[in-house]
Amino acid sequence: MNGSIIQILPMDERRLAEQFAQTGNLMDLCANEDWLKESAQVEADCGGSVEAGLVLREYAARLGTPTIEQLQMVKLQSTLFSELRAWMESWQLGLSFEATYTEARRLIRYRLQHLRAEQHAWVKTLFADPDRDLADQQPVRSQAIAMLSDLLTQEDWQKLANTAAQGMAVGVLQMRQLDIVSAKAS
Amino acid sequence: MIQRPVQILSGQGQVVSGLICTMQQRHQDDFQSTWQGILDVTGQPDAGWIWDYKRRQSDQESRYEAYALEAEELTQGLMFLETQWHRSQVQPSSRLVYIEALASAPWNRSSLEQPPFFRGVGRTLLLFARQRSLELGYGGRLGLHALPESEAFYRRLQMPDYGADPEKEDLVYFEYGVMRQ
Repeated sequence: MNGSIIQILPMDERRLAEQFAQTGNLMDLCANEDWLKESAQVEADCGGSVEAGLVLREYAARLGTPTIEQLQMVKLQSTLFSELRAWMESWQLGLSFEATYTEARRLIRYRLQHLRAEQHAWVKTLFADPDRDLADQQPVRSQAIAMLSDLLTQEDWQKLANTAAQGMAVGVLQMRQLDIVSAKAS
Repeated sequence: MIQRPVQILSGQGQVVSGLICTMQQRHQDDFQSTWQGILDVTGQPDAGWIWDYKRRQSDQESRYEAYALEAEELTQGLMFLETQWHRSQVQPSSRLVYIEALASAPWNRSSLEQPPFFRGVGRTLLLFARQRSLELGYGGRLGLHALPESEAFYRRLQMPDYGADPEKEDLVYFEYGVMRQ
């Protein structure tokens, strides 16, 4: 390494320091739309690559241009998972929510790779407009619960029920352990 | 379990709510299935072990921290920090937060997808790492080795460049110093 500072532009540092002095949290800058636009511009100007760390070198070198089908699948997953979360939160799973939600996502991903003909046609019609924003999927969202119900099989539902039960059991045992530890500490 | 609400921009410029949180299994699943689905060369070794290993390390050793930035229920960025053993390469007596790995989802890279699905993921993660450095009492010191195609990004963010590091296959080392007003 050459040991010399090639470039220092102190203005950004001053802004961070001011933010930290004001609120104690740099992340508050994310509430500022100008900051967000600037972040977007920086990434756009630099080609959007932000990867750091030697461990990612091989992975980053293999990244290709996504196909339209891959991007549609990303949008579909995003929409379905958003609705799935809202739906599952109403099930009041408590301690086992995370495990059950994670399992549900896995099952849905699997089923999306093995769509029946009519499901495939439904997905195709949803993405007739390829330029639609990921955050603007209202027509898809309104049909998502029906799609989720249709995707998951009886066997899948049984798996989710088992995961929820197991997750609750693990959670209760962890709580017992925590109580023992805190009792010993006091 | 850390959870910090953030905002990023969608590809169309809308402000979208997101969350930086401790990495969970589902974030690793996103990398394994959806991120890795967009690899140009198939049949190569699976890169999923990277985050699996990192997440396990962060569960077992307090000096490691693994985070995900999620928005619209998908993982948009991942970051892995080491917080105790690394020292500043400018002031070796000072500890810093070292970014072992930082990545944005492939659909957020403007070189791969126009417009990207989300913008600003990288800078938001970097800001969070800086915040962690302040919280840990390191004054904002932060180091990383950028991949070659990302060097412009870190230079543009005014991160001082200390040149190629032979110990890291000549990746360029960048380090933010202590934050001064």
